[in-house]
Amino acid sequence: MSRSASVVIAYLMYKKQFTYTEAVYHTRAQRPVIDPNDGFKVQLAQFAESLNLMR
Amino acid sequence: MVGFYLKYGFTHEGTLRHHIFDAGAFHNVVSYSLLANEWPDTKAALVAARELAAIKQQHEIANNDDDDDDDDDDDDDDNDDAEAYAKWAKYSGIVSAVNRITSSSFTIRAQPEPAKILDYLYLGDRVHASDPDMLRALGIDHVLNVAPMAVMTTRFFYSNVVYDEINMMDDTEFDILPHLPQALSFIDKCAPESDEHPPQHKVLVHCSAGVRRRTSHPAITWHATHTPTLTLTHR
Repeated sequence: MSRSASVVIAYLMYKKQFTYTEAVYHTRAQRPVIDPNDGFKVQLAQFAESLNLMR
Repeated sequence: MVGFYLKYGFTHEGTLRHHIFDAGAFHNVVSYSLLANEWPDTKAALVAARELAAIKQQHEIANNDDDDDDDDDDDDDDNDDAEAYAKWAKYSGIVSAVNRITSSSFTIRAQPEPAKILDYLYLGDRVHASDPDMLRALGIDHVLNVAPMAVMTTRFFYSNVVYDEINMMDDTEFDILPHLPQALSFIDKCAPESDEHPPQHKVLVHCSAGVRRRTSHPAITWHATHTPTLTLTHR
């Protein structure tokens, strides 16, 4: 449950301006089995940072 | 409930000591699992238990003046079995579709439907992706498959569904960032004009995994990696 969850988390950050933590908690509240792998977590954090720079 | 798991063919995999911190205290997580090839036996045992409970109940109505104490104990067990059957019967289709069901003292990890993340955005697995009737019932008309190498449901599987795929590897070294624009713009095609508008389209994002071993206790993994006190207890 890593790849699709990571895509969904990225979308929430992009569209809903969620932080990474908010996006993860929101997703997990609906589907408890998500667990982005460590490499994806780092990349999602980078993605969140780049979104912040663009705003 | 622990007795139930062992009685019906679950294997005790181990105890994760102090794995959860909740309400001011550490809790152990006890993990039990059942493999798909073990399910038929478990199901047969549950069916038998339910039938036995029904027979006993009729027998007791007929012999109401038997030894009360012993009967009470039996009743409790029978009710547990009947309830357990009702609970597990629900999962029979899912167990055959995934490799294993891992259970713990907290939850059963299999979801019959994809998770609704937003009104127009669903997150699921290959079992959900391979069920066109359910997708239609949920109003899902877009599917984004991010594990096309790992599932059978690629673009030829669907009719009347807008399909896209991105070949992502579930590997810590895999670079997901270059693929996000394609993924996010595909999802965004289903976004209504504003939050007030009902969604015209709905999208399912899925990879392959439904239930898998390393995500048996994901909520806990998250706490473990993000709460300093717990990180120490884990390493």
